[in-house]
Amino acid sequence: MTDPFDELLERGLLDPPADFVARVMLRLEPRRTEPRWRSWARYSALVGGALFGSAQLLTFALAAWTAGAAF
Amino acid sequence: MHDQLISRFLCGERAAFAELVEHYQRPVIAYFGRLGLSAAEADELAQEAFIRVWTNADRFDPGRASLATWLFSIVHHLAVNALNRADRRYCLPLDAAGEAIDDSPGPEVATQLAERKRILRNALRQLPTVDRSVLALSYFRELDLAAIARIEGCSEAAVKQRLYRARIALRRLLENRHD
Repeated sequence: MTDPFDELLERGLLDPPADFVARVMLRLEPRRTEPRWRSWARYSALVGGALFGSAQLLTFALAAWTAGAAF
Repeated sequence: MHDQLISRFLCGERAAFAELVEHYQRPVIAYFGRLGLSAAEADELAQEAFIRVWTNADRFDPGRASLATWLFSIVHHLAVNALNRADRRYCLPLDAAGEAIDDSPGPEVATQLAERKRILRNALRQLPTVDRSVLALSYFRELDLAAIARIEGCSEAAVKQRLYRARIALRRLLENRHD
């Protein structure tokens, strides 16, 4: 590679705009500081709730089928 | 990067994050530049990368990788996605990639510099993405071969091979260019 190009590659071709940091900081949203255990608890509650709901539905369907079969 | 600054950043201190962005903005934007992206694309992707660093700070494990390695994993992921996107937005005509205002001393020097940048950018864009990315990362001093391999998801031997291949190809492209 010829020297001027190597020098350019070393520099990186682009420089950050003067207001780059300020613009990034403006776009920041407050970070969630939720402890890891709490997200696990939430996930477990979601899965547990879904299982419970499915079991309820299944029970209802089974009951309806049993009632239907009785007549 | 000082451990103390990283700890403050991980605790959610915005001032520490601002220092971090200040420290890494140049290498990140330079990386995008070496990939052949325009100033506008580099700016947009660099902002996105830093926002992700802030948002996903709880996923950073200092025991597994340095902050630079983790940051550049995010940067690399964004860059590869941008380069692979079929969207025409990232397929500008080779000569149309604009850039920020140059602070060179005189108009002649500025013109010459802009021309060299154009030639280099066009040559870089002809390299395969994987080779170009390794070449672009190799200029950042905080990343050694092992870190680059981790970012690229390949072995150190593969990094060496890609780097060698990229340098040879780039040299050929620059020597045989038709301005």
